[in-house]
Amino acid sequence: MWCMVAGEAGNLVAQMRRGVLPYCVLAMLRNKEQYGFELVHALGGTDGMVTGEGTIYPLLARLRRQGLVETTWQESTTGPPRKYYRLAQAGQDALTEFTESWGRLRDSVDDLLASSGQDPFR
Amino acid sequence: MSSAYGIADERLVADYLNRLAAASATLPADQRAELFEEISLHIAEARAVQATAGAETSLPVADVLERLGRPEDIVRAAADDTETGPITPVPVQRPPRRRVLDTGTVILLLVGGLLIGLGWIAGAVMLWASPRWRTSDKLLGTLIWPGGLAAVLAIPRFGTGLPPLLALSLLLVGVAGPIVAATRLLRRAWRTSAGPHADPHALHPAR
Repeated sequence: MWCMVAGEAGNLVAQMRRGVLPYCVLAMLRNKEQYGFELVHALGGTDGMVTGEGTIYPLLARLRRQGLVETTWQESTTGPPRKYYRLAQAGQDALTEFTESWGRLRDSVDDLLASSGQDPFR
Repeated sequence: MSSAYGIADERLVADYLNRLAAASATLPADQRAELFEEISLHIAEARAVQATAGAETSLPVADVLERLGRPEDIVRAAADDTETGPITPVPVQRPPRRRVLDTGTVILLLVGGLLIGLGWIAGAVMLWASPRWRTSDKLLGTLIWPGGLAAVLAIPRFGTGLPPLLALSLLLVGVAGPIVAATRLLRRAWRTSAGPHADPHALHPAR
């Protein structure tokens, strides 16, 4: 039984955001490795992507456990040692696949949203 | 320039990490240690930026902690992420009974015709009853060739008047057709019986 109520859309968008966030993280690592603070700060500065920057660290840890990203430690001249994240092959594959699926879904939804209310048979 | 933080800031950081330590007590030890390490490093990095950057670009410690979010929320995200999450490689599992049934169907289609034709009919019925194949596969499995390999036996019987080369070609096509069709059916069944989770990167949004 479907019942759409006001405010549900916001909740849905929050769920969608949580669903796509891992792929956004993978995408940010596509061209260069980044250390945690750098990555998290950049994501935190992206409008509406995360509510708390700290919640990205558990996500990064899981991506590493799943073999989608790899980590290396590097010394820093200006602060504490840095844990760098970079895309593993499996992460690259997952990102490529998601990019295609996302493009299709986005286009379909955009089309439907734009065309709703128009009678195609008129 | 560690003096960039005053006593009040040090206390803020200590309180924050204490809350994180308390909230994360329920996490698995290695995950807890990793989370604690990352958050500590994040704060230390912000502190280093604070110490080296000009006053106009530095971020007050209270803001750093606020942007990190409540320790309890971070731990909850970690707990949610423990086993389930948006990207979960799902092991491909094929229920063995289905596999046996599907393979049996294809074998009957292939050689069942040799059992006075009845085996092939049984195979065709099983093929059409199975949800594992699309209609196009079912048509393919039924039409190439009715009777399966048994249809080849008809060639020497009815093709005695044919030129030898044509008879041989018919024989080869007669054998190859069912084998190609059977291979296709098996591969399709194999993929379908892995279910919608066959995709190693299937989306499984966290609750």
